[in-house]
Amino acid sequence: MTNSITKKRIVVSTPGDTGSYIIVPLDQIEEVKKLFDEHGVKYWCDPDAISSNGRPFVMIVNLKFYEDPVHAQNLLDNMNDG
Amino acid sequence: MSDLGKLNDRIAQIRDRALNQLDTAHDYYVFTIRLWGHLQSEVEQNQATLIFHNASTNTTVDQHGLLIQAQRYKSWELPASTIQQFVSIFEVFFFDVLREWFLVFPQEVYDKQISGREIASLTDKNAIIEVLIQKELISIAYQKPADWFAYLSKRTGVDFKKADSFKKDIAQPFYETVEEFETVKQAFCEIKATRDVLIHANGVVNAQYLEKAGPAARVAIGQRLDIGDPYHQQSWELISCLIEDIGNKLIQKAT
Repeated sequence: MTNSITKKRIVVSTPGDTGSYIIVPLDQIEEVKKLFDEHGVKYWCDPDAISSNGRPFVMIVNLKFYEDPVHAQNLLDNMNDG
Repeated sequence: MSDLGKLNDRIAQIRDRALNQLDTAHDYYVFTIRLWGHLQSEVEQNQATLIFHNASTNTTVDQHGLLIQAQRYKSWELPASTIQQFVSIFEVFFFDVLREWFLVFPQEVYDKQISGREIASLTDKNAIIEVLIQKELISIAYQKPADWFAYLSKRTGVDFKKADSFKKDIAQPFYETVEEFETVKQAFCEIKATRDVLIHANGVVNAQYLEKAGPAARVAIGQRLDIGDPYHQQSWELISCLIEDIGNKLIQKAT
């Protein structure tokens, strides 16, 4: 899946062993949530989307600590960009 | 103003103070998560750089180190802290309203006993009643939270079987129905048990958790509790509704 803002691949960030998260442009958030819901991936979203210095809004999707980030990344990679 | 009028005012004040404290704790949670999210976004997408130093621990982290901390703070440290606050706010509310109730209806604690030495050190009857109330509240605090509500009903004559202000949609992800107060009570006991596990067992479920949480227990022994959203949000909503409901019913009873 390609980030609609940066035009780069959307990646699951896993800094250390403290949990994984994904930064998703707001216009793609429903797509990502639907994908994870359909595949039973548990996550929670930050309370609000973020925009700084006038840049487009993004939202952070946090994977539950027991979720496999590699599995989530594969799901994102296998998703066709609409 | 009559004693009952004053009691109503005091209960309303205690209820509103507790609800405001819950809102403040929730704001702290949400705004702090937003700030960490902002940092994550700035570093990952906009290559922001920074260095933080803690002179006390001599720890220095750059933006990459902070990203590692950020996710732990967001998903564990922060909700663990605010869930503990939610429970503490409820406990203070619960025992403060009981204290106010007993000050107006002191006969409810007349079966408590104090020594002659204690009586001799007190100035008057009001001071003696204060000590009796304090002893009563301490003895209740050490009982199981599951018994607190029955105690409250017995002492105040309020029927808590139905939680009127409880909105069905709020706790639905936890429970199929929330009409019965028993279910609400169990949900609270589970949150209280979660708080105890956070304090005493680093979030890993033990036998005490299973006993305290009862039928609402979420995971088995040895597993780590999930305290992020939606659990965090549902805990806040449940405790808010419980405080509102108990406060309103006590006010109604004392009118």
